[in-house]
Amino acid sequence: MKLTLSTLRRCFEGAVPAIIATCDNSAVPNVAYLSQVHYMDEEHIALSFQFFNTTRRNILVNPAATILLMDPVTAEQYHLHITYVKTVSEGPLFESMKARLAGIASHSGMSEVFRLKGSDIYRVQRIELIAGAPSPQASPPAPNLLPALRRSMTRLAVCQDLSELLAGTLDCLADEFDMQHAMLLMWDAAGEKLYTVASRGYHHSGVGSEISLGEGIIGVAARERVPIRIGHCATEYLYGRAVRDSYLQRHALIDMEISIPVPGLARSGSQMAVPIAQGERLIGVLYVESPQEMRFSWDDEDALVALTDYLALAITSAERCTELAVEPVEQAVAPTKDVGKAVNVCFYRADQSVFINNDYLIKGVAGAILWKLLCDHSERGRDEFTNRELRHDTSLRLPDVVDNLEARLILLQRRLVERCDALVIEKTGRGRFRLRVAGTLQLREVVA
Amino acid sequence: MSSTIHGSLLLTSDLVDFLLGPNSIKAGSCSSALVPSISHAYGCKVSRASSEGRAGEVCVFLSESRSAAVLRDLRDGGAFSVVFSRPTTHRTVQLKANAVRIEPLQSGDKALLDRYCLRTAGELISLGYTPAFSKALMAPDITDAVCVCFVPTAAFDQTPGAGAGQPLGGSS
Repeated sequence: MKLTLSTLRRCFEGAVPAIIATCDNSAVPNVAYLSQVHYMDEEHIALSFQFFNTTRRNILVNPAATILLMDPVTAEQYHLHITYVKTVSEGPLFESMKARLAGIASHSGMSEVFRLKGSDIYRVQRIELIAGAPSPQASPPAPNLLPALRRSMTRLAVCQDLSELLAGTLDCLADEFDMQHAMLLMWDAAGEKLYTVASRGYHHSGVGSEISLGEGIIGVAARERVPIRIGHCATEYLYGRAVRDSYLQRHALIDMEISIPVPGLARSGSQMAVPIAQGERLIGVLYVESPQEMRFSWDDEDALVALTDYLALAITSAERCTELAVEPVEQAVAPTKDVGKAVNVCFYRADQSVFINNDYLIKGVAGAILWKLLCDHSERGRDEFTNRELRHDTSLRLPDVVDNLEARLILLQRRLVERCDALVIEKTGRGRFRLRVAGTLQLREVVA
Repeated sequence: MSSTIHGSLLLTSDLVDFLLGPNSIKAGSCSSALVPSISHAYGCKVSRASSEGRAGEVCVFLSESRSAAVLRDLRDGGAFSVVFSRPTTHRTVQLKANAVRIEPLQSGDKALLDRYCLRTAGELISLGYTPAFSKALMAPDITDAVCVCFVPTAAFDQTPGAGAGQPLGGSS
């Protein structure tokens, strides 16, 4: 098989550190360990620039360098003959390497020492298998992810709407890729934050929890539109902590009471965040994690990027269908008269937050939607609604940009399932749903 | 901290103890066209400075087949750079030399090489690498080893951290 950079990607995972040799104009060689070799494409790699050291000085005067790579499974060794091209210190490549370096630094207890100054980009001139190097054991067959990806796409292809797509994606991750801890977040363009709409493998679902752009691995992946994969738990990229710290800085402590904790493993070994995007439009982020270190490979990253690309298309297509079609009601039911215990609902106009029997439920657009439904139900006895009427209701202050109304309804529906027995939203057809109220509504709006 | 003697590096007891391993050793040189070369080295022996003023000499073992480019560059008169790194502590030292002497293994060298390599493989095993992999990487059966001897002219601390790159001593 022809040696290509992609066939050597296992060597870049950091399990066995690579070494670089450089030399200055006086032909004095220098040998140094590398923290990170980043595969860019079939002709380029990027190396982490952390210190202005001899390697750095050498490549600026003599761009030729040679890397010694070791395969972490077979112990085979390779030479990469490379030429320095340029350094970048911002953007997706830099952010992705910075996140991974933070993982490596955290693993080796050197978070304060390892700070990425830049990503040094090199063109790979030649790859060479070192003669006589051992092959102690045949490489174990790597799990072939193509069948898993194919089955996943087949399963997602029959999903009818966003709700099914989200559930289907989490099912596929668990069944087909053995990724048991995952969450899906949607992008709120107007609020400039991500909110969790579905998760799997956590003690609490965290549906409704929010992450700002740039916060933790999920926030950075969204901001830079780049997949980020960390093989060792990086303290500073733990989104939960990052979110909480940031929240505390920006808000009074009391606000914490109406924030929903982001789900997450207490001891995460590996993390991967993949943006869900279609063209320029960010739709959300898929996040997976594992207690096992170095759990996710380059191939896993490829597979999840392909899966999320497909998911982005499927979500866009489902949105269009929901918008166009309003199916007739499946089965008309006579509105039930609200009886039973009182359901106290308080709506705060300022942040559109809803409290039910004094317990926080939801805020923002989802809160405003619920309030509209409850008012219509209370004042006009309505319990059948369509997505289209919500979209055209100016009182909801839906953002002009693509707003993922469907996602907000799913979020609301799930929060109600988790937090409120008295209110249920159930789908009755494409673009149509019903509100069921078990109890006597007592509505109160606080405008201030 | 080392100091220098007659332009060469004085090998302190601490440095010699460290060089004697177990370490992962990487050796580099450079062609006249300024293309660097690099390979594994397998094991090390050290002769201390003599009372007659002879400088201390360090020898590392390289495989003819696996270190073809490095040995070619050295035979062409290229300078030498060797990095010793202790897997369990990350302590790393780079030695440099302007010239080397390449000679066949002497009696006892092969046993020394094998012992050094097995001890280094043991370090990897203690870190959780599999025995098969650790042995394949650090202690392959080298049958074409040569001994590369040099008088270090400079040594640098390359342990990751604030002191990385600091000279341990240097040529006068």
